[in-house]
Amino acid sequence: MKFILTAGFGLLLLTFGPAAMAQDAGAEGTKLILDVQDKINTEALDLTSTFTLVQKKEGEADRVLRLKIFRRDTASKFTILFQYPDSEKGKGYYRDGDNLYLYLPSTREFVFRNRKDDVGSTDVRTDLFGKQDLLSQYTAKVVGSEKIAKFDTTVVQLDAKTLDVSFPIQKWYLNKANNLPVKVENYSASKTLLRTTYYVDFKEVAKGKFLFTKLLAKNNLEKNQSTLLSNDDIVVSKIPDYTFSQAFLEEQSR
Amino acid sequence: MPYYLSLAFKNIFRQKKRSFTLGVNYFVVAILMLLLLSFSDGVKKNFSGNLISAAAGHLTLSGAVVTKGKTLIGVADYPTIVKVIEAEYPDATVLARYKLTSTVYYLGQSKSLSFQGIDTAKDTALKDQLSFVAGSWDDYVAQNNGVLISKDTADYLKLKLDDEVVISTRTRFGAFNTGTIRVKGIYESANYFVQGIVLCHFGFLQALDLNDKLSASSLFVYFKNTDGLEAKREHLLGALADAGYVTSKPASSSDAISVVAAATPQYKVEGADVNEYRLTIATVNEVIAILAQVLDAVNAAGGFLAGIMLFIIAISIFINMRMTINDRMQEIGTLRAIGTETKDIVLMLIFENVFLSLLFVLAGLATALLIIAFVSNVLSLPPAGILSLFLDQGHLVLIPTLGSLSLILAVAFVFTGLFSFFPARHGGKVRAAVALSKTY
Repeated sequence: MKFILTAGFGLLLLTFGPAAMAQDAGAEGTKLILDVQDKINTEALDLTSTFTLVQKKEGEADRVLRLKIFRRDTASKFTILFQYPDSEKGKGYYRDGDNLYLYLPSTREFVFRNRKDDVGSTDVRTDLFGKQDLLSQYTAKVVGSEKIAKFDTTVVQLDAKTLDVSFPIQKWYLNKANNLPVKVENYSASKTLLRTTYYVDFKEVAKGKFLFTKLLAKNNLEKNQSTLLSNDDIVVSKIPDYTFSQAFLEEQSR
Repeated sequence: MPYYLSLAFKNIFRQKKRSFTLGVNYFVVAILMLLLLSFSDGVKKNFSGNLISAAAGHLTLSGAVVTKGKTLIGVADYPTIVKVIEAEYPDATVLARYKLTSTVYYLGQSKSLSFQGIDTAKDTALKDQLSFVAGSWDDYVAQNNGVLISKDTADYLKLKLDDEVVISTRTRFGAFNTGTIRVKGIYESANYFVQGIVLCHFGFLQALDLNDKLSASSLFVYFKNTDGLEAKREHLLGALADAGYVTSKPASSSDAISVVAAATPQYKVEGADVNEYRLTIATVNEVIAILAQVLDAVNAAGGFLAGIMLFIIAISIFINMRMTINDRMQEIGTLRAIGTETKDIVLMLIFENVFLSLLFVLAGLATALLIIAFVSNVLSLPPAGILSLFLDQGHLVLIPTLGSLSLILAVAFVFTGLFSFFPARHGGKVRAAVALSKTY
């Protein structure tokens, strides 16, 4: 009788155990991602800051870009103005929800862009600047723990719900101490590592709200190609509504 | 033959220096015009021949799938389309192609390249367009991820036979996908439309693009000949519409080129209730219409140049004839005195010039044919880049047609006749007594 009970329990565990564990991993992953989004999305705040991007390529001189960012997560909007170098001056992005426009001062036209556009052909993407809504596009699950440099992290894998995303698989390495990302890996549909983003430093801009101040984006397919991003002059005061418009970009380019 | 015609012919050789000076102009114009028309015909034939053997069919089909207003480029359920075409035209050959642009990463270098996936069992005409520097067609066919790359690409990326290379592409849905290709052949081609293309297997590219097995980028339809392409297209538009496709013709030449390139149309927002399989069918004539326009412009520029020369000839004819008539007033007076009528004098003077022009135009055409023979058969040019559009096996394609030759002769005949008429009429009207009393 004891044997039958043990065997039955074992069978039950074998049958439903992995599914239950997967469900737990999924629930835990979703919870962690929701928490990350809560921390890095800055609803109720207007943010202004200056990004400096330094792109390093093997055999080429470093390329430097400076951008001014205006961000309003409540309305899922941002405006980006290129300030340096002179050849890029006047260019800009305006995002309103899912619509992203690139303004080209040379032709004075707005070009509709994929919301996953790379900023100025660097390894940094425009979706990094705005509000994150990962769970609308991905399902999350915890896949393990790992030590990244001196940080103990929880690894959350995001699998795309549809193929309408740049990276069908992502792995977020979340610091166990504060649940902020330390590293994010982006994979292709065939699971090749394409890009790695290291979040080097964060700044608390309001209670419980964090903005990265240093970030390194590495292209894993292009040997020794990476972009270092610094986020400085962070201001959280109210931005005029007009800043979030195509007209503002046109005006600033003059 | 009226006597004044033989007289007119003999008269050409009386004033040799004057005749030669005028004749050289005809000679040059004839060479210029024949070379220009032969070039134009050669480019048209070479261009469409290369296009059809590599990048388009007699009819080319491209399409889009609209699901809830969201448009994805590509031909949906292509086996059904092939069945419809083969049912309507059993002699037709239908080939499916898969195209995408992908970045190749190798030894720290990266390059964006155009990939074309072909059905290696059916789509074998391309084989004849390639000359292999390394590897072979059979090696490529034998391996599913095998590719053929151009020598220029291989040199740029320092690729060798059997090298494995990672490629990354943004698929039609937006997601990135990666794959590994193996170099199974390095080729050179004189065909402009093959140069630079990476040839892959159809299924390999379809999978890399995360697409279903029934999708293609475009379909090429070949008939026994190009007769009645417009009517065949109309018929297929109807048959495919009956099969459930929303069919259309390209609205312009540039649209036709987009069909062949299977290019993404401009961004367009559709209603959320729109669900359609769309197909556009372009004829090869529509695709080359832009080229025809460019060539027409080239011909017009050449024609303008020839027009200037003809204008100079017209002035020369006028001055020449007035001088000739004055010099030969005694002769004209004598002819009139023995009963030659005004119209015969006029015709004699006109035919002197017409014979002169035909003589030198024929000499010019013969010289042009010799030049064409030399350029087409002996002169060899490197088939690189845009120049290869004009070359066949390294030789410039110049096609002198009977039509071109007849046209040039007719223009020379009519033009000379027209501009000789007025001074000739002046000579013909002189009365015998007036002509014979003229002294110098």
